[in-house]
Amino acid sequence: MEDLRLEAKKKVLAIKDLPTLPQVLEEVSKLVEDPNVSTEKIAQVISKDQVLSAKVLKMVNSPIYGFPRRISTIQHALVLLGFNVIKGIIISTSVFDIMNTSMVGLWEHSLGCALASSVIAKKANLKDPEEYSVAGLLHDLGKVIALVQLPELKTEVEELVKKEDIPYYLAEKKVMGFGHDRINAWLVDYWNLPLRLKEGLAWHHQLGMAKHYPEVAAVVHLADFLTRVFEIGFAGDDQVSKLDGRVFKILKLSLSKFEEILDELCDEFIEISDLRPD
Amino acid sequence: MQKIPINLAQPGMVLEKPAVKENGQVLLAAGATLTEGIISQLEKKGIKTIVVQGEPLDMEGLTSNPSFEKRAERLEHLFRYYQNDPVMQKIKKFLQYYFRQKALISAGGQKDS
Amino acid sequence: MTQLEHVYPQACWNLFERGSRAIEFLFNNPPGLLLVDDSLQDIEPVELVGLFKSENVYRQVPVALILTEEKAKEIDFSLLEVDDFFLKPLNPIMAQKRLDLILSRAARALDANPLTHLPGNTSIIQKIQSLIEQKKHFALAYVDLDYFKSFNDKYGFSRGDEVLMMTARVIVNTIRSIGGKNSFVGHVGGDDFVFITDPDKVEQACQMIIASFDSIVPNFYDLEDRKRGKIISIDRQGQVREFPIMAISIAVIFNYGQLKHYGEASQMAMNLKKIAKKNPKSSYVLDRRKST
Repeated sequence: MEDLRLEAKKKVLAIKDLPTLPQVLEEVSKLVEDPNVSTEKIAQVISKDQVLSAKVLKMVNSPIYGFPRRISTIQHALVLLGFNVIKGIIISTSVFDIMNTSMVGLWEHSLGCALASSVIAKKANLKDPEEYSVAGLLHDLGKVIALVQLPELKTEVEELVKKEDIPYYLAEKKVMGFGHDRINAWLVDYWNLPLRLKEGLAWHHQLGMAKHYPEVAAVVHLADFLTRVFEIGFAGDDQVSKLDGRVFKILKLSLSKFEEILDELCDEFIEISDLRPD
Repeated sequence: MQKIPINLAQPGMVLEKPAVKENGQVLLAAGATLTEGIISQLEKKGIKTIVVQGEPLDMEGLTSNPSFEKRAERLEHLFRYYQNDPVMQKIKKFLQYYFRQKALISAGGQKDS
Repeated sequence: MTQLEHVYPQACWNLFERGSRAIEFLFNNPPGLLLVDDSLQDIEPVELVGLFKSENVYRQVPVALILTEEKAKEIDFSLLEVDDFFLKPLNPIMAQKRLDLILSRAARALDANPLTHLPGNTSIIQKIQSLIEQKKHFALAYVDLDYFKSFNDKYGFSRGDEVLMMTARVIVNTIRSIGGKNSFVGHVGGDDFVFITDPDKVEQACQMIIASFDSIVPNFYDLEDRKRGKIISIDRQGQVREFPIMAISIAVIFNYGQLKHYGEASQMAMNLKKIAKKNPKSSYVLDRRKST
């Protein structure tokens, strides 16, 4: 198991090209061609895509720019990278060779989780809700990386999910010995992402381990759970994640606050729901 | 509330959210009651979907946003791995109660068609 | 070597047949460029170069060798600290171009701020002077950070450098996105920056820079200071001191053809800056005087 983990880690960190969905790339590519477009508009569109967001954060936190581990929102990253660099990132991003619905589902789930994280952070009166939104958006990035760098393991995990009808996270543990949260942790370190993002991405399934920013881990944990309750997108299984009761204490959420969150999510999620053609 | 395609809109339905064009322009405010005339106006102006109060239509299979009653039912399936987990079961029951309440409130706010 | 004299007559040349004579001259009057021909008899060219470059005061003088191709093949340029080389026989036109390149590259390297690599004082002065002489209409802004010193004192110079790198990016990207015919950004040193843009765009530039800076700079503080909105530190006497979160101050002066010399510009800006710095929050001050 240990060898498998080391091998997998090597493969993960060797990642050269992270592709994304064609429709996202198309939208952003069109935007950057417009000379009058504002950074806010570009940020808005990039914030909906976990791969572009990850690339942007990785670049702005690179030691080359001089301030690693400081920037954790897309808005700030775009201001610091500037238009030329952003355009460069978009031009050099490719799309998946083979697209399938489960990938689209994963993107939808991440977007749903980003939204939910933002709502929860606001209701819990936490400062800078955008930071929580980013953490929510990227919480399953490890699954995308596994898709690209560890395809055989990923297939094995999917088959186990089907065969034993267990949650994806548990199947990951059984097949690989570690979950997508561990992959997140490797990437966050390697890419010099800020500590609060690290704790949100690495510990959203193990709340007790988040020593410095327990709220971020708690928000992402709850957001992931609720996104599954509302069945937004598809994250590898049609189950809820195990809810750690400590979230309510960490975020100081009363039952009525929790209901407010649910109300808000009913409202927000209907916006991103779509209608099947007749 | 329900998101429905404009071609299924009926007079008497009330907008839960404003009808907004793709460019962000608000055509009709939330709370407005739809008439035949208004519906065809919205269609002409390119509106494809609207969000109405209550749950007047049976959108089974047509939407990724199921009715509140459906959501309550789905929870059994979603929580199936945790059948023997008392904490998770409590949470499930709370959520089922929540969605069923929402379903009732929706039904109460519906106009007679 | 005399060939080069003809090719580059604008320079003041000092020729030495003997390396030993050259050394004394070099140490007393470091030139803008040192060219060493490999036919030097009394001292190995490589030795001469090494001697010269080993002293930090002479290190940024560009040095080039003139040598045969065979000799060039023998040299390991990763070990020898020269800045360029010419192959014999010399091609006069190419040699002239090369000399231009060596001199401008050296000037750029010398002038660039070592941290941000933005143009430094020499380039800034040249730019302002050139715009004044061409009677261009422009807005000249001087930027610095309030409470930067207290930040450095508490968090150290390394983190202070991070803030400067961030500030540089904010200014550069804002000016670039605003456009403008004569836009320019320079880094005087420390937390002092300069930018030039069109008069009708400068106010927007100031507002954008301030908004971005204010929004991003809290990320560089530790959690407790960030929550408090100020630095709490203890000075050497054991006193508790408080300092606000860093703010950015911008003073803007305009040229409508009335300026004669960059010195005027910087003097006016310095005075304006005092007003901006009175405000503990980020602010900008525009020189409202119109040309008569």
